[in-house]
Amino acid sequence: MDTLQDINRKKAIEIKNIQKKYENITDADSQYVLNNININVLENEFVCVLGPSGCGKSTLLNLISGYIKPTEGEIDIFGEKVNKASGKTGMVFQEHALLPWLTVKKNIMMGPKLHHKSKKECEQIADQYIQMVGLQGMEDYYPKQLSGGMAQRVGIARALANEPKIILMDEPLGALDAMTRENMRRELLKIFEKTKITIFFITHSVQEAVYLADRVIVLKDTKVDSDVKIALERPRDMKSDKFINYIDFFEKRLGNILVTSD
Amino acid sequence: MKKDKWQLITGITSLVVFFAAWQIIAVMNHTQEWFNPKFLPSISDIIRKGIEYGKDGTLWLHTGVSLRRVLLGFSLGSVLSIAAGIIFASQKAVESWFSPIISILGPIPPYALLPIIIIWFGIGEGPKVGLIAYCTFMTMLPYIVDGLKNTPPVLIRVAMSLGANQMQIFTKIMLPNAVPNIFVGMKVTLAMTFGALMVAEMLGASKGLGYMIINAKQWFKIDDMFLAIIMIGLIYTLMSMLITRAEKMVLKWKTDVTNAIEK
Repeated sequence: MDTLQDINRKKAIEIKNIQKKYENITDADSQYVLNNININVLENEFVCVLGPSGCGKSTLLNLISGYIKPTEGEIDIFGEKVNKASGKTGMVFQEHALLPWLTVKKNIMMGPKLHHKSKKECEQIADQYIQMVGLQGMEDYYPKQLSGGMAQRVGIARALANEPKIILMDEPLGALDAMTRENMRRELLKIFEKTKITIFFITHSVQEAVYLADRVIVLKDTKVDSDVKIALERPRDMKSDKFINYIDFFEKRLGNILVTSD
Repeated sequence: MKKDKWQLITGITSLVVFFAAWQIIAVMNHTQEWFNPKFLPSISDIIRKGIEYGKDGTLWLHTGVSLRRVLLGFSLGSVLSIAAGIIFASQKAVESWFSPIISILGPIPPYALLPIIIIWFGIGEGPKVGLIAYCTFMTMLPYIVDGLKNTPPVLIRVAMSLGANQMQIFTKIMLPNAVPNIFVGMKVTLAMTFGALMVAEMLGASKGLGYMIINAKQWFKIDDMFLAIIMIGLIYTLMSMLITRAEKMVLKWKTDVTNAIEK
């Protein structure tokens, strides 16, 4: 299936035979949250993981970020085993998770500051990403003063400002209203094209996954159910037949589980 | 804006009515003698007393001494409780050893401890400030530990995902997150601090507003008592206003309400 071009690309994330079970769950059948997961994500690839609530999507993300450890298996980031949480993989959270006591700019400067870069350098980096996410003029506002969409832009800029090669996104657009959400999808693709970053994106919206991703992975019943390339040129027309075919396919894969497609 | 103004007007009116009623009742009581007129001096009597004591310096002596004690005790207690809170929140072992001791000592009112303190440490300034600092410390500590421990986990995760180490998580996330709680603790504790001040000045003291009240009781000088009570109220209000002002400055991110508008 892989084209020659893909073979030359580096592997950004290698998930090898991951199993995760939570100890305190007594029911023998349901104790595995993730079972025998194998996923490879290439450099500069946009991968969406699609699945119903409770399918282990977030657990998978936590494993990749090193926040929790797998029961079995290994995850490599650019060939290096993940041991603990580090700054290698950026993270964007659903509930934007900005520090409420810092202004927009200071939130974005946080990563560079933690790595003891000079104040001037931190500010330069922050300005660059403020521009990228279109928040010029908002530098001195506090998170409380921002709308959901603006706050999430700050969240994305903060992750980018730490200059990771991979960004993990945990339903980052899930809490936004439909209009803002569509805007943010377009913005996100622009950023993706500009930065050449690798994005691992979790969502429960089929439409969002097909619109954004190079590849969509369906997680179901603790396992990888399907792993499909989206062979559509960007920008994608959500009303085209091909697009709708993909939607139908994934909705079928997800079966009877109710999926919200906004 | 209009609502604020209205609140200010009603606030002032209510105070004016309160003191006017007091004055009228006291003056009428002088002639009608519903009860012993000495029990309730009129506002003008108290003010007259205040001017008299202000001129001969008695009032400033007692107020100054009390102010010094309460400022010293409060700052010392606050600093120590913030330091202890940081140690408790970051060193689990320390907390599990000390928190049982603190939870049995905490509920004991300062008045119960005073005689022992006097026997152990005497009646100097040190033990008095110490008692005030102790009460401040005991009341404030739980607020600080709570504030540090109740950091939203997602904020800690943010810091971890940006590559922060344990120390940075503490100083950049947990500590700033606890600041609002520290201010709440300070405001609640202030009442305890003043309670301790009174206790410390009512036994084994020869200066201070608390002493002024106890001394006036012996000579049945009710004007003096009211004067001292009013001074205590004034100092308390002043300190609490200062804390609120500082809070507003530090917690600008919480109080600023103008919303950003997307272009």
